[in-house]
Amino acid sequence: MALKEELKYRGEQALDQVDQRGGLVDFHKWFLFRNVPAGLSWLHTLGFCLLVVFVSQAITGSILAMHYQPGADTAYESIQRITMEHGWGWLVRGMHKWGASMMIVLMFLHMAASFMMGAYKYPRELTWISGVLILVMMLAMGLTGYLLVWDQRAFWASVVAINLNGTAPFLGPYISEFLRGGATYSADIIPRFYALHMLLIPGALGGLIALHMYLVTRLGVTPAPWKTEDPANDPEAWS
Amino acid sequence: MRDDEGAIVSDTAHEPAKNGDTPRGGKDMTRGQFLTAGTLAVGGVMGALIAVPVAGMALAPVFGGSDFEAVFIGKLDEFQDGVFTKVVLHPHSDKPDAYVRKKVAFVRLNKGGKGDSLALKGQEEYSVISNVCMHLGCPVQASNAGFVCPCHGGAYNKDGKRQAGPPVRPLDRYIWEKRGEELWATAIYSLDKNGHRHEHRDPGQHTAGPEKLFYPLQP
Repeated sequence: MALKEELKYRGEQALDQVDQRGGLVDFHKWFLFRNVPAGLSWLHTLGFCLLVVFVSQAITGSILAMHYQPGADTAYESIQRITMEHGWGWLVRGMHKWGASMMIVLMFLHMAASFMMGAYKYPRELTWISGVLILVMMLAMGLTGYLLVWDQRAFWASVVAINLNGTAPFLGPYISEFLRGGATYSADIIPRFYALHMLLIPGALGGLIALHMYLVTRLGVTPAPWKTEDPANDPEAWS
Repeated sequence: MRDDEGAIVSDTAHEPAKNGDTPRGGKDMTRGQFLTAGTLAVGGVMGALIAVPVAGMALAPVFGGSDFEAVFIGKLDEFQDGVFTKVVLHPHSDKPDAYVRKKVAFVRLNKGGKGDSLALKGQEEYSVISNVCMHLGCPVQASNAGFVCPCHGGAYNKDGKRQAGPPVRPLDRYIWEKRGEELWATAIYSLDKNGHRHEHRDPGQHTAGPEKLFYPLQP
């Protein structure tokens, strides 16, 4: 056989073996090769944008974590070193910082678009609820990550944010005390926020995002509300 | 039981098991139900063995109580009648993160024990007012009429009572005592607009009015 056909054959054989053992090829077909309704717009890409930014944050955050040193005396200097000395550190740090703002902007746009199109209605209620939980977790990521710079702005913004949490009725004082790690501010707050930012909240987010995406894949994309015909009766509604 | 030809048509040994009455009046269960319940119970114990210590460690700081220790304010002759002096307090100065724990207070001598509308009984001679704004915790600055907060425009009068803006109660105060020629702070407390003492709480939590009911408990 010609080389190209030989390689194609070998590649298919390899994929076949993987699929027989793990069903991974079938899973990817189920996940990626989906039908979507006709008449979608750019607003429908916001969810995937969020996923891309989340992956970028996770990867840039992991690399930053190799050089960041949590601790009252070392945090600020380690970030200075990342920005000034390490190769491309300024770029990765910048990606992480701006990515955080992008997450918040995209989340609100995605939430607004989903709400306006009625994508929260039956059977997609769980998708909406998991999305709201993701929103709360992402805001918590922003809060915990902001302190880690340990400059004046970071510290005082965190003081205000912790006090904000404390104003919630009944449990508020306990939430703010939990975040602060006690009755008064001390340097212990850095490793506390670092553990939340690196381990606890990303763990919760991983599960929630997986659930969210499974539900979206299983239930399908909501038909656009500006299609006047009932999708159930329109044979061309699904392309 | 057997049919007319003697073939077995129903057989209690092969009927699906169901809970029934035992001879002594109890209810029995199948092996499968027992093992399921047992597995769940053991799993629950294993989960608790891990979760309880972890949750305890995560939540212990919340219930640890206050670590306020008496802190030196200044020498008595530094403070003037009717005028505030800004003082930096250094609690826990032996700890390496002492710079994070610094606090600022405004101290005023009230000659004759008059001039402070919010003072507690026995605390009229000096006013030691915290600089933490009672809206969200920004540091307040002294102004002509009292104190103002640069963050969201909260304004207080010279006794720390809220005059305008989003703060929800007067500025917190320190309980002071004289030790020889020095002034020391021995406790911090929150007050309502009449000067009554309340348990110290974070900014933004009301001490008076109907919103007070939202904050019945402090950690």
